[in-house]
Amino acid sequence: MHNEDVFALRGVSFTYPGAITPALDGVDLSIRNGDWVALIGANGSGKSTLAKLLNALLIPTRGDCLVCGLKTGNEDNLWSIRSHVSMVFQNPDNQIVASVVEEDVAFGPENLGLPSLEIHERVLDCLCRVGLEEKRRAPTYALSGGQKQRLAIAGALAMQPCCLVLDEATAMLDPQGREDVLKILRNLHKTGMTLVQITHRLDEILDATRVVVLGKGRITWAGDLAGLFAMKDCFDEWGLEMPPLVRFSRKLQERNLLPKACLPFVKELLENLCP
Amino acid sequence: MKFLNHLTLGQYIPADSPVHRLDPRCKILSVVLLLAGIFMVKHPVAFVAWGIFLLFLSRFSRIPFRVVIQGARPVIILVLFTAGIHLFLTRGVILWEWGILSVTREGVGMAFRMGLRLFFLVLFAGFLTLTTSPMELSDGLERLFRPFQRFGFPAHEMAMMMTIALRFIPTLFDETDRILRAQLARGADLDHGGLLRRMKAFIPVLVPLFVIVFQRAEDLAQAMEARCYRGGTGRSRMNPLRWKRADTFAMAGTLVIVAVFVLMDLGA
Ligand SMILES: Nc1ncnc2c1ncn2[C@@H]1O[C@H](COP(=O)(O)OP(=O)(O)O)[C@@H](O)[C@H]1O
Ligand SMILES: [Mg+2]
Repeated sequence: MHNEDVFALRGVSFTYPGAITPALDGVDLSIRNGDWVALIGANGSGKSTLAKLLNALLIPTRGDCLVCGLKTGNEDNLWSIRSHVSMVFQNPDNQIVASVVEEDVAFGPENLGLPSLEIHERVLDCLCRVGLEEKRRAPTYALSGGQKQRLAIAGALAMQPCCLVLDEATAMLDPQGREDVLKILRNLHKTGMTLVQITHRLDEILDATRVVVLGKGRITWAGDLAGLFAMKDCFDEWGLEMPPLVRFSRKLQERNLLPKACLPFVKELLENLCP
Repeated sequence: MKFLNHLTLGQYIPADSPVHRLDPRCKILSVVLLLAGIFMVKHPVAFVAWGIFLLFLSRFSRIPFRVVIQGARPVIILVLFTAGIHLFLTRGVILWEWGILSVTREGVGMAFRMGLRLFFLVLFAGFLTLTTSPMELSDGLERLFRPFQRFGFPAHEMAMMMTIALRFIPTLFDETDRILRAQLARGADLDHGGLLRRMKAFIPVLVPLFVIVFQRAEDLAQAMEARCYRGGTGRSRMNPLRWKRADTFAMAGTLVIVAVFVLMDLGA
């Protein structure tokens, strides 16, 4: 194992109790510190299961899952692992515990048993980072969907994790809420946070440094964005939809209006099309 | 149009008022005292006095009286039902008779008293939840019940359960509202027919609601675990409870008010 690996999965399989086929089947994956990993795949391919393994919410039925060098199967490591890796789930309503914004952010640090002063500092800092400092005393039920999800992110950040795992965190948000969340992720990545972003919208992963495609519980493809968008005809098979920008640049490349090496990003397209 | 109004049923309204700032233990104990007082007085004038006291409380806590009354709306039926039972089932001097139903002079008095007592009970309890966030409330209850933990009473678990229940009331109201609309849009008729028919019509509303509640509970449990929740042990608080001088004053004030009301009632 590499020293700077945040996650190291070796031959990990997981079968839900009572299920016949495994949800994950022999997954090998290592994620380094500071990586932004986009985890994509069709519905039921095992993305959520993998996310829960990373946080020791589930323990592999076979193989080892190491988080910052700690084995998740070991009961003694549980709380240490969960304070290293924070999760944000799909439905913001189902992860808010308290009725007041700042009380909800404080929930995690309170569980860690931190002193009152430090909890106050963390709460303020995290609310500022997601742009909710004005809503500090607001009731949580009065927040919009996007604000609720930002609150969930603040609650996760208050644990001061080294990695954030987001399981389709933008799936229930409107475009504005989605963009707000992505902006927060970009800022977190800049500060060196490791991100594991699960989504099935490829237009959301354009900042990822690595892409892992999951299919039927196995890793079917792994590489970087340029490699992903260079793959032909695989997207249908993977159950994913190509973003419009990728389709557009494909068409341009077919007509030789764009160099084959040009990546389907706004910046690269502009540089090539309007020099 | 909203079918259900969830705004004040057990909801907390953040504000900066002397009542909001009181220690939750002080508020819980005061409400218990007030409720005991309410059930001890009989004289109609005493009820007017309680009403005036409520108006004062509403001023002090910066919560409009309208909002307080709104919170009691869901229990109006319960109040009327209780009053009705006492109206018809109290024995005494008969004022009016119809078949097996009879209304007595004592019954009228009883109906008034019990109805008003229940109504005031809801209003005072409402003040507690309107001015105390569920987290504070559960902290307060946990601390008050801590002595019983020795006898196996799950103080922390009960308190946490209450926090979450209060947190999810608005969410579940929204959810019910959504399902109701969906069923109505598909032609469900919830307003006509006898009681049995209406109850049957509500099954398509209740079943999805239960499914959703269980899904939510599972999601929430997982989210709490992911945030290192492991019960009350080792947990600290952002705002630890601190009994202040104002709390002692408020407590003493409540005690005096209740004592005066009860003594005046006994005298009358
Ligand atoms: N709690 C569960 N119990 C049994 N089977 C489950 C459970 N959760 C998911 N599965 C199954 O595991 C597989 C992977 O699911 P999941 O990880 O949720 O996929 P994804 O998040 O990619 O949609 C699916 O076949 C699903 O039916
Ligand atoms: Mg999923």
